[in-house]
Amino acid sequence: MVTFQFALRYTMNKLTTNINHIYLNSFGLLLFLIFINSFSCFSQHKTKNEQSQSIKGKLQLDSIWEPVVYLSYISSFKDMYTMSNEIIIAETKVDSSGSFYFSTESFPKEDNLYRLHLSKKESPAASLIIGGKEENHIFLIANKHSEIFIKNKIRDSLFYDYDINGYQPNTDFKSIHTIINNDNLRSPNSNLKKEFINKTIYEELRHIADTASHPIVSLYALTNSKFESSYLENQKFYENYLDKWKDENSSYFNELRSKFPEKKNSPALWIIISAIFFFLLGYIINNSMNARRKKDNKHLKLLSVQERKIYCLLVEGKSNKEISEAFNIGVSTVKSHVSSIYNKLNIKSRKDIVNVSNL
Amino acid sequence: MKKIFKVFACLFLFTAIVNAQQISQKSCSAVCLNRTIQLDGSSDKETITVDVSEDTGKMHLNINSKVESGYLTVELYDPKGNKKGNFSIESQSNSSKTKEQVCGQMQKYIEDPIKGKWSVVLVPKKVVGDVSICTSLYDE
Repeated sequence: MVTFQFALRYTMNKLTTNINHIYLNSFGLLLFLIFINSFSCFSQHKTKNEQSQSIKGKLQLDSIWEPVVYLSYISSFKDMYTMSNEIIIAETKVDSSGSFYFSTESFPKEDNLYRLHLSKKESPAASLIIGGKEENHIFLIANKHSEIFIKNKIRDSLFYDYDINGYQPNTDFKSIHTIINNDNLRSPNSNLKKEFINKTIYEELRHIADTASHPIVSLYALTNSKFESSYLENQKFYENYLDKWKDENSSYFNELRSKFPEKKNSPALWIIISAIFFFLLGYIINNSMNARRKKDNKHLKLLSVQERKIYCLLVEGKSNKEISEAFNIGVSTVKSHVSSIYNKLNIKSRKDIVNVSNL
Repeated sequence: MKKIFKVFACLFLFTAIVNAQQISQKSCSAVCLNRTIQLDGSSDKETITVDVSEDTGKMHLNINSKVESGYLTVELYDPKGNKKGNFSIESQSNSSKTKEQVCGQMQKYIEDPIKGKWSVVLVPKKVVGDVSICTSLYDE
């Protein structure tokens, strides 16, 4: 009976242990499944995000255009209208629905300026058309995380009228670009009116440059405001502007900095520098004069009292006879003193005495 | 009655045609100048001037360029010396086996242009290619 009870208890214990094992295993499996599921969700989310980092668009293309979109990197504003095969960094086909897509995954983290263009059929890929209804390019600002959508509005003109959405600086950039490139905005009949309108436009561009929060947008407005001609008038404004964007090290800002004259030091600084210079100059001159005096004294110290008196007369150009008369001594004595002076001063003639005294 | 109606109809048509001809003649009072410049490895700066007279109301300028090698800059200046547009094209292909073409085109449609000499300045650097300049000046 005891044996039976023991066997039953053993069996029950074993069964409970097995059930616990099954529960634990099931729980572990459940955790694993949850982990896999969440990982899969996360990676899906990531892929979706990565896809959204792009420049894409929908274009209504006329039959004259090759359905290929080219993307060029513009490293400075002066190269905005430069075309070569070397600056084209990517190309993509426009599908039958007019859609195209560029991934911005390989772009730098910082904002840069890019040009997007299409070429006419039978024209080379590197073709640039500026102005008119056949203008074949647009500019855009993008970085690694940008999501930009471009859509043209009219079929028979490629980028004459288009929308650019997704990254706000592009809308502002486009507005400035329209102001700058509208020649006929500045074509009233009288020259006076033309000048007035130009002046107003440049002032407006400077105002945009001052208030824009995006560095490339701000700089684009300033670059086209003819700031070189008004630099002296608005020097303070430009100095403040450079100070505001002092941390910007993009090629666009470096290009601008090279156009500005270097910042002048304040007058107070100049006064201090001049004072230090003249003080040092005075100190050096004084030192050299003292050195000369010491040298002269050193020479004269070698001579006896009588020789010094004769030396002074020799310097004045007196002859031996005149010296003998002056001191009431014989000419031969004078000659002996003169000879001694020559030896002590290490000179050979009266002319050398004058030179020594001028040292 | 019918005859009178026909006569009037014919008269109306005749005057309409004459009027249309006069209008078309008036709108055609444009001067078109075409120039093509061949560049064979040239690096000499060249200036092409376009005279805009007092009567000119509109100017249409079309500059077309094609480069097979070298670097070409094209600039447009108004009579006051203000730059009104520019572009540069570059082709780095120097071998005779591979040909690389680069095209640049600039169109300017200017209403009431400043009177005087407009200049198209070509600044080539060892350029093999050609530039064509087409100017249409329309009277006011």
